[in-house]
Amino acid sequence: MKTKFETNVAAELPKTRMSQEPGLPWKLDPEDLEKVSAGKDEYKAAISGAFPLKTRPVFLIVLLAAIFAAITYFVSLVLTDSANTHTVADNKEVTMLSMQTTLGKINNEKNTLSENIGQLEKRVSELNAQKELFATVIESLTKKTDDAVGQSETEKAQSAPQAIKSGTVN
Amino acid sequence: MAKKQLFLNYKGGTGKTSIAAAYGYYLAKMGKKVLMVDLDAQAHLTACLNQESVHHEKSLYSVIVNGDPLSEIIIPTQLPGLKLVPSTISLSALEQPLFNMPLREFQLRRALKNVERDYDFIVIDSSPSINLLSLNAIIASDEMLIPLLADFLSFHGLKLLLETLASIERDFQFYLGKIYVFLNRYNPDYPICLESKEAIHKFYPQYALKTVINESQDIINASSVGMSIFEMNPNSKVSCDIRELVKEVNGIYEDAREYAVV
Repeated sequence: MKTKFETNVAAELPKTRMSQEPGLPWKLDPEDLEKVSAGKDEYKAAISGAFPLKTRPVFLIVLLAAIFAAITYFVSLVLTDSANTHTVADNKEVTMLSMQTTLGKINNEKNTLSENIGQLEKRVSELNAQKELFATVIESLTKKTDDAVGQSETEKAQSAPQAIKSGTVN
Repeated sequence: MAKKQLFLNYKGGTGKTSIAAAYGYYLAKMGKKVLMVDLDAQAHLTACLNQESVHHEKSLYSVIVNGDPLSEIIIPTQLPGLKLVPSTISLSALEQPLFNMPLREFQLRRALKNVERDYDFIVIDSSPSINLLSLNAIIASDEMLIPLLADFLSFHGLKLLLETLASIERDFQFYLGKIYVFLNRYNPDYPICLESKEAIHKFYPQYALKTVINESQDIINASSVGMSIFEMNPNSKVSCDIRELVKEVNGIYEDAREYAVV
C-alpha cells in the first residue's frame, strides 16, 4: 500500500542550472538586465514626460472657450429676461390703458344714467304733483258733487211733505 | 558578486524566517558581508534582527514602484557585517502597482543588481504565499533553501512548490542554480520525522540536504527577544545545526576554536 508521501510527489521537477542535462539556456544576461532598466526608464519617461499634442495649451484654450461660452450664455439669458420683462410690462400697460378707457366709458354711462335718473325723478315728482293735484281736484269735485246731491235731496225732502200736504203726491 | 539565496516555502510556519535570520547572522559572524531582504509584509525577519521599532521612511515599495535606489533603504544591524532591507506594511500594497509594471517579475532582480557587488551573500526571506512578490524573489535568486517540517502537509507543500518552480522554468526560461531541501524541527523520536526524512531522500535526492535542524525552543526564544541564537546560546544544538547548514550549502568552514569554550 502506498503511503501518503508516495502519492504526493511532484509530477514535474525543476531542472536547475546544476542539472546534467545539456543545453539549458540561462536567460537574464547583463544585457537582458540593461534592457529591463532601459525599458523601465522608457516607461517612466512615457508616463512622466511631456504629453503629446501640447495638451496644456489645448486645455487652456478649451477652458477659456468654455468660460466665454458660459458668460455669453448667461448674458443672453439676462438680456432675454430683460426683453421679456419689457414685453410683459408693455402688455400690462396696454391692458391698464384699455381698462382705464373702459372705466372712463363706464363712468360716462354712469353719469348719463345718473342724469336720466334725475330727470326721471323730476318727472316722477311732477307726475306725483299732478296726481296730487288731480286727486285734489277729483276730491273737490267729488265733494261738490256730494254737496250738490245732498242739497238736492234735502230740497227734495223738504218739497215732499209739502206735496203730501198739498195732495200732489200719490 | 553576491550569491543570492532565497528561503521559501508556500506553507507557513516551517521556520523560514527564524532559520534565515540565524543563517544570515552566522554568515556575517564568519566575516562575510551579508544583506538580508525581508519580503514579508509582516516584517518578522526585521523583528528577528531587532529592527522592527526603527522608523522606516522608505521601503522596498518605493524602490520597486518609484525606482529609488535600494541602497537608500538598507539599514545596519547590531552585527557590523550584516545589513538589512527591512519590511514595512507597505509591502502588502505592492502587488497592484507591480502587476501593471513592465517586466514585473524582474523588478526585484533589477533592484538587487545595484548592490550585489557590495555583498558576499544576499539572503531573502519571502512570505509563504504564491504571489507576484514571491515570483520576483524566485527570479532574483541564484539558489533556494526550502525548510520543511517533518510532516505530510509540508511534504505536500513541497510538491506544489517544486511544480511551481518547474512551470516558472518553462514559462520564463529561468533556472535556479541550486535547490536545497532540509528538515526543520526534527525529532528522531517521532516516527513521522523518520518517515519524512526517508521520503525526501527517496523522492528528491538531488535537493535533499543531509543536515536537519533539530527541534529546539532556543531558536523560538531567541527570535522572540530579537536576538540571534548565536548570541543567546552559541553552543546549543540548533546553533550547531545552522552551522552545519551553512557548511553544507556553501562549503564554508569556520575556525573550530571559536566555539570550543562553553
